[in-house]
Amino acid sequence: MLMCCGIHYRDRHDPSTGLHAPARACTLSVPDPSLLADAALPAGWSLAEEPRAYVGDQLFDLIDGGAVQYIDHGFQWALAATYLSESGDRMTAELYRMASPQQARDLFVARDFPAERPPVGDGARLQSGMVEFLSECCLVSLTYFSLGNDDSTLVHIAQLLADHLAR
Amino acid sequence: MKRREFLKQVSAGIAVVGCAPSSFADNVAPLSSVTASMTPQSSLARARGADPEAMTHAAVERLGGMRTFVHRGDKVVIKPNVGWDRPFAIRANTHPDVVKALARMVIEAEAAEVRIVDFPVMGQNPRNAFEASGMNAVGAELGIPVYPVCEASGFVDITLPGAEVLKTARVIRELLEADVILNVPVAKSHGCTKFTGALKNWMGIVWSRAYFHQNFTTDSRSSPAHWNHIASCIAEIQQRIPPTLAVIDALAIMKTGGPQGPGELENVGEILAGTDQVALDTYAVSLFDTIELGDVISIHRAAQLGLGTSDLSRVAIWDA
Repeated sequence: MLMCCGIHYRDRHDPSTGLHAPARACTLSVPDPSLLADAALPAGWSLAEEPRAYVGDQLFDLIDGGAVQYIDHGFQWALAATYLSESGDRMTAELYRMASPQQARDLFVARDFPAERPPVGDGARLQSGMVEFLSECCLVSLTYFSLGNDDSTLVHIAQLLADHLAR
Repeated sequence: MKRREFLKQVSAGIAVVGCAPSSFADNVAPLSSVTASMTPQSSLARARGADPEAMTHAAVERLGGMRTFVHRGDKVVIKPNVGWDRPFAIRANTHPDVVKALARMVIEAEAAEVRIVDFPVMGQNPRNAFEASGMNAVGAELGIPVYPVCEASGFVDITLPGAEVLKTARVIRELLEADVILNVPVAKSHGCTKFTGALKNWMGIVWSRAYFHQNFTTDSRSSPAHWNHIASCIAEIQQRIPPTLAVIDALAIMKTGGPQGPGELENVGEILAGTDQVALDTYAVSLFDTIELGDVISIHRAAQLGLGTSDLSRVAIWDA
């Protein structure tokens, strides 16, 4: 486990080979929708539509001027998806792939704020229905829209997605 | 001349401009000179507390009440910041109770029509953004239309006579058809422009936002050329389509992580109202310990254009 600025990061050292094994997202030069589309979901949840991809300056379409901070930290591409539950709840996922784990980490730290720290991915933070976490070279953001105030479903799905991305 | 008639005449003139730009330009006085001469001194109303509706009402009353701005039979558009499909508590969007209070006052002023209009950020689902922000609930409670602009057909092309940077723009049609426009932003940090408030909220009326970021390249990244370009665009669209009144939601300000959030929030508990968007933004920036006024170029560009004053020593702050 590595630690930077109070945030813990997994060391993805593979003991069988002795090599560092990067997560799949970090090996892709172009966005692969399956990163969000194929994540395991709890019963009753499903993907609403094919994930959308944003490459380079197209990030402005997704987050307007917020894109500047990401591009300044080596942004490569993003994916955005929506999940729906049978009970009417909704969740959006945004995955931002940066050029390197270090740049993703720098961005994550630059965007840090006082928050709850659920055990999700690397250094997750939770605020009012939103979870952000690191997965090597990716910053992942999940937003939960529910009539209830229980964040347990959000944290659960975030953990499932973090596990999916770490493979 | 009523605002709607003026804007329609300008729009009609613009339709002709393609054929005869010089004759049109000759007939339109630069708005900057008019505005500058009308605002040698400025003022704003400030309400403090924890009840957004009551505070909004008090702030507008301090300016003389909604009837100062809205007359019987007017068509009124309320343009909050509904840019984001985010939970309300993230505070990326304007507080719905502020919008509700304004809509109520407009109705009481016997406007013929009031509607809530915005064009969320392109990659955000507009209908979801209106639902998540609470604007749909406001519309349902008061029986007024809410209009998340989704299609290009909801926009109209205009030109900006005399503008140095933003020569043309595609803007929300509803604004050109309104007698009164209420600009109702939320005060936030912003990754590009450092701060977003009354001035920056007008970028949300434009379809072609890519032009605002035109000088942003993967080579130069966030350079002074980009910052100056977007600041000029923001100021010039305000100059071309000036709001009648601005009311800033500074209840809980997003000090970092803006515009989309999440970020560090601080409960400031203020509502600001006035007609000088530059003064309002200047004051709002002073609420942030994370933003330097000198870094918010759009404020200075708007002041240069005569849209208001960024010198708070010249601004009377009236507590409501």
